[in-house]
Amino acid sequence: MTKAEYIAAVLSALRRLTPEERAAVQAELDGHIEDHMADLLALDYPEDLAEQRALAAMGDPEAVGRELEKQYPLGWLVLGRAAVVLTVALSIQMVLAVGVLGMVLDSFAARIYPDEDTRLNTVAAQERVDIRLPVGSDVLRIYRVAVGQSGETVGQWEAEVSMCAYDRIPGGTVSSAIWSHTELANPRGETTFSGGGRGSWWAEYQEQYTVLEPGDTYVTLTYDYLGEAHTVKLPLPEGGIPS
Amino acid sequence: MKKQSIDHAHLLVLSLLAGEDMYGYQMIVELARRSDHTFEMKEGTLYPVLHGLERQGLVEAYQQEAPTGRMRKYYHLTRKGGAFLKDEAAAWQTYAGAVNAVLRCAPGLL
Amino acid sequence: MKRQKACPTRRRTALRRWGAALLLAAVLAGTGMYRVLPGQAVAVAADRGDVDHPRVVKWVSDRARSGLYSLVEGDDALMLCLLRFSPTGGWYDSGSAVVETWQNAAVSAGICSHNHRQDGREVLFLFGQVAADIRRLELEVTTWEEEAEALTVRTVPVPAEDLFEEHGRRYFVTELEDLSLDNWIEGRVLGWTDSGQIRTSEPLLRWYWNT
Repeated sequence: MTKAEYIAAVLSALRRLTPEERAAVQAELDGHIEDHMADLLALDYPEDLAEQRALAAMGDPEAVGRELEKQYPLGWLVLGRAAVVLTVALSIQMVLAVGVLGMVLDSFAARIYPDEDTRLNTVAAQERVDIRLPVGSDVLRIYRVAVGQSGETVGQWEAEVSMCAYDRIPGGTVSSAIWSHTELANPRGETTFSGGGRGSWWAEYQEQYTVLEPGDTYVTLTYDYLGEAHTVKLPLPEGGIPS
Repeated sequence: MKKQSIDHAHLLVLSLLAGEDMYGYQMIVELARRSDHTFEMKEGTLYPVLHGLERQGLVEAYQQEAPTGRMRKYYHLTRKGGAFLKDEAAAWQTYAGAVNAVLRCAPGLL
Repeated sequence: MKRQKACPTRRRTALRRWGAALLLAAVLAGTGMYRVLPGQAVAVAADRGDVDHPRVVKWVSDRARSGLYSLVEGDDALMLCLLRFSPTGGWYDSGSAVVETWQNAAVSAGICSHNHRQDGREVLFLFGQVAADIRRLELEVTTWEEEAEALTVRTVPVPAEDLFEEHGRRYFVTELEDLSLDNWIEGRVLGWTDSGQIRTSEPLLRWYWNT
């Protein structure tokens, strides 16, 4: 029997060990036999006799293997593996949650530079503004006023007020219900709830419209909900309605 | 004395490690030397003993580079192992003392 | 030159792995990425609905036990929201209805409707807040009946056990049977005091969800 055969015989009895554990046992036994052989070689033993002597001193390899295997109880291994499974599941969960982070960035974009496209077909004049109203735990921000025509009614001039809303706390959520508490009126007090927008839990965008007549210089936006009321007079941009 | 050396292998290994950290082959050599070759266990059977002590937390192991460049697994007596050794050694002393006392009474033996 | 490397036992490896797993779980639960408790989903729903300083007044379930509803009181509003559990993400809010209470009206009421896509069932809840002297409540609803092609006015009493008191205020949450938002035209809640006076709520707003 050679050293390699001896170690292989021991390892064959180690069925329940992980590959890392088997490698460690192999290295340890190999080192032990090597050390014993080194001592014998130092006493001028010939190499094959030294190997035989060292292996004989080790004892029955199958018996050694069987006794070794008893020292590796299944319990902790199973528990350890269960923890790995749980960690993988939680990591997937975290990746899913972070995937949502992309939308959370919406919350930041809205408060830095909101900019949605206009829905007007022809724009006669537009102006960026920055009016922020605190509403509940959110912020309602009016960022643009434009005058133009949409495709729907020919010859009809409209004012478009572009707004966005986001939570006061960056990364917080806002509800689209906020738009149902706002109203845009022309100087005659006429309100037509027409609007459009897009939104997610983290930022809401909306454009609202009202009909204009030549000579109009402003529109009024009101917000009223839960005892909080705001009224903002928005001057129409320079150029107004072409006469 | 084969049966005795296996039963008390754990105790002998622990007491070897009480002095210093050792690797497997070193323990075999040291055990033979200290007991004047009375205790010479089958070398392979040392490893189930060591791994068993490791599992029970009485010793802990670490890898260290040997002069030959190879990594060697050293064993170290833990605090728990030291306490266990103390209790077992005391029990053994009591046992040995009792045996000696009985033998002393038998005429012509000691 | 000494170079040491520890050899951990199976026990130590298992304990380390459990430590890492539990730490990750704590991070997920603590940051709200995984909502272990329904209360965490309630907080998210309250934030979206602008209900400040939310506190759960009551947990309710519909008769078919399809979901967990939470009646939440805030500074100026009262909210009823449906909470559901998903293995990914934990509890989440599946639609809520908000009633303004800042005017301290004698009767504030709202309806919350969920349409379950799986079986087409509609679950309709009537909820709100009442003043201390209100003893009895009734829902007055106007519906459009297809076959008769006429408007019908019905009164549905609110069961006494669905009117309760919590922290000194009085609330009601009741599941409406045999009613649907499909033909609902208008509704309001009437409250009777001991002396027989009637107080009415504002017309009920419709909050309608597909789940």
